[in-house]
Amino acid sequence: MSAEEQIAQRIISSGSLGVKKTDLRKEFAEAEIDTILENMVTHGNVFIDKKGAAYYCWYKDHYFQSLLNSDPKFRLTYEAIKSLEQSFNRTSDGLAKTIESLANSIPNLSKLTIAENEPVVSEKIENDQLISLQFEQFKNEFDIAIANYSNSIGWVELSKIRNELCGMYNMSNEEFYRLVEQLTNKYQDKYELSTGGYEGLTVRGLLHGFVRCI
Amino acid sequence: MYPYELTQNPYPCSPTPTIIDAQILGGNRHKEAKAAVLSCIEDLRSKMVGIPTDKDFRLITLIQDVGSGKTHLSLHIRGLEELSNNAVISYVDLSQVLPRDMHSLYKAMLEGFTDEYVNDIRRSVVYFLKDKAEQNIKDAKKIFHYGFFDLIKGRNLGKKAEDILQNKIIPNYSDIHSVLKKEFSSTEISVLKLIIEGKLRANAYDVSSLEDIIASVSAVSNLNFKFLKKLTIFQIDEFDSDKESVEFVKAVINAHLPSTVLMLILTPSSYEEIRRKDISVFDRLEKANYKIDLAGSNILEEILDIVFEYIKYYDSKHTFTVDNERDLAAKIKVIYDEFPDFRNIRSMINILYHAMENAGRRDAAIIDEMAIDDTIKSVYPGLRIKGSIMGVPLSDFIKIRRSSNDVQSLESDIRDAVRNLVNYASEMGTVAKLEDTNGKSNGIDVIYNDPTGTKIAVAVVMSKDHVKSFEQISNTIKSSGSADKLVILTNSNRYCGTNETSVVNIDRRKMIDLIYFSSKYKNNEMMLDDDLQRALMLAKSIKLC
Repeated sequence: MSAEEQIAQRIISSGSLGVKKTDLRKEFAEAEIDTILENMVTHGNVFIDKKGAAYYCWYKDHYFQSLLNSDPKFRLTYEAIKSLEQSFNRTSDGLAKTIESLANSIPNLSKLTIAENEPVVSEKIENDQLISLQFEQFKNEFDIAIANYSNSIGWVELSKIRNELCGMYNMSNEEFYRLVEQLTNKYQDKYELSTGGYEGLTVRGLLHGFVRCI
Repeated sequence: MYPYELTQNPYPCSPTPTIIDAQILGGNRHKEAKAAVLSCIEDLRSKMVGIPTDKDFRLITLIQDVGSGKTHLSLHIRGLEELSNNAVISYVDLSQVLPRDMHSLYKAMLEGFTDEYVNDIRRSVVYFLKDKAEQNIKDAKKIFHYGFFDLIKGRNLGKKAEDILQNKIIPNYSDIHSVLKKEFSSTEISVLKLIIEGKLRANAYDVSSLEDIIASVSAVSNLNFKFLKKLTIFQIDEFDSDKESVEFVKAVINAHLPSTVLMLILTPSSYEEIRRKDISVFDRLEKANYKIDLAGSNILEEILDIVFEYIKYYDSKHTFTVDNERDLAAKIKVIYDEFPDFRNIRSMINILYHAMENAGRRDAAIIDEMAIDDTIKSVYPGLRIKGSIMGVPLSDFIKIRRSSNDVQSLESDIRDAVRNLVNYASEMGTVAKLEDTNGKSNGIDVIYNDPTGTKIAVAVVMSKDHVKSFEQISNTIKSSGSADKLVILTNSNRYCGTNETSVVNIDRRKMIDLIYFSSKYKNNEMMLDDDLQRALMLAKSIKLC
């Protein structure tokens, strides 16, 4: 066993009480005690601190316990953090259970039937409004992207908008272009497409990769 | 005789504009763009005092998609009578220039001038020299080979000048330089000689460098102003990111050609390409004096305005009334709304050209429905409605769409069609025979058994208080137990189905599919296997089987 290993072993065996640096120097008189300790401290395995008038050495795990035993401020801070951690864990568990429960309910929700004489139509209207809202939201984001990316004459490559919106909404390219087609058809007098580019909508057999607001 | 008492078809049949077609300019966007170009020219003219300098250069960009009328507008400006006293215009179509080296581009610029211009400037230059000779400027008479015998024979210098213009005599070119050297640069004198020779446009390959070419173009501009008192306008159409073209145009812009307007015509795509490939040229284009675009040139109002402008141009008797206009607009709107492919002026004019011919052959007073139907059938025979399961031909689509404006009759037609479709499916063995619902329907239009024995009730609900109707029908089914499942076909898209009730949204295209099927079924035209497959697919798409 090397001198370094012997010293480490000695420090570990001292537990949370630690071992005096001077005692180590006496026990391992032939070793370069300062160099070895410095090396251990650098690696974070050993901590050296002043206790009373002497310098003590602790192994890292034991040093933590030593602080808890000897330093009331440290102990209080540690307890406060521990309590916060427990509270956070409880909240996370609750949230995970709620999500799981919601996920299980989705198939059931979709299978819900119209109960007798129960006006569920309003819920469906809300659903539809949600879809409509999403489309309107897409339109808003699309308009903002055109405003942000357009060149001096107002044209923007659709691929630039696709990059942004697909990233923002985790949307597929197909879905994006489906919505663009819907949008430009619905608001014919608001948007204008132009040929060119590397991706876009195909009209009259021509790839239209540019768009702008009229 | 053509419709609206026109003596000729007002619409061009050429797929791209010609000078003659371009005399007519419709559409507010195009008219605004034209006003902008004229304003630029007027502005430059107003600033021209004395000898043109490099301050007297303007750059215009005209950027819009293919088929939006950029070339038409350019040719229209080129042919404007009001400009003929102020400017000479060279129109270059770069798509016809290959290879695109500096010589071919220069040649194209010179060839872009009209013959009329070449004759005018030649005459002006020859008469300028004649004036010099009459003023007894040294050596000027030698140019005309004017001597003692001419004087005796009574031949004057005017006659000699005409002889030169008619190529009866060749001027003495060696003396031109000595006569003009005080007033003109050596490049200008070279150009003047070419003008007198009538070889201005053949000069392209006699210049060796880009610098010489720019100097020659600059000289042409200067001479145009000096001899004709006109600005020079270079219209470069189909300008793109081709390296040679971009470099050439960059040199022209940097040269600040005197008394010149450079008009670049390109698409947004080319503009973007130039931005990527040559930021220096892009920067110059960004700083153009006028950046004209034709935003919204393909919207319906613009297309209608252009379409009417053609008729009005030839309508000397003013027989094209407001009612005619309204009627034709309604027909065009159907085509425009339903087919994105026709949402551009070029396609629409093509349809109207053929429709006008069709109506003209039948002596129809207006462009009637038959004219449009026949045009669609003959000009676009393969055209089918996008998303149509039954493959409805365009002409049938237009006919059905026009006749389905009345919601009451539409609902009745759909109801018939659904009954016919279930009957047809029953005949084909896909579903069991439908039950008679007459007299006890309570909103139910069809009841039948599907292949699994489930009893299906179908209700067509349109143009009503949908919530109330759905609830009523649903309650009827539940209380009477007359069916296991209810299918509601509706034009509302605000509801979705349940286990017991399927709410199927049928959009306008599906309605037209149903009516088209119904018409074929009633007329015993469901002959082909393909028809059978399509009909069953239609039934499945609306959850009838």
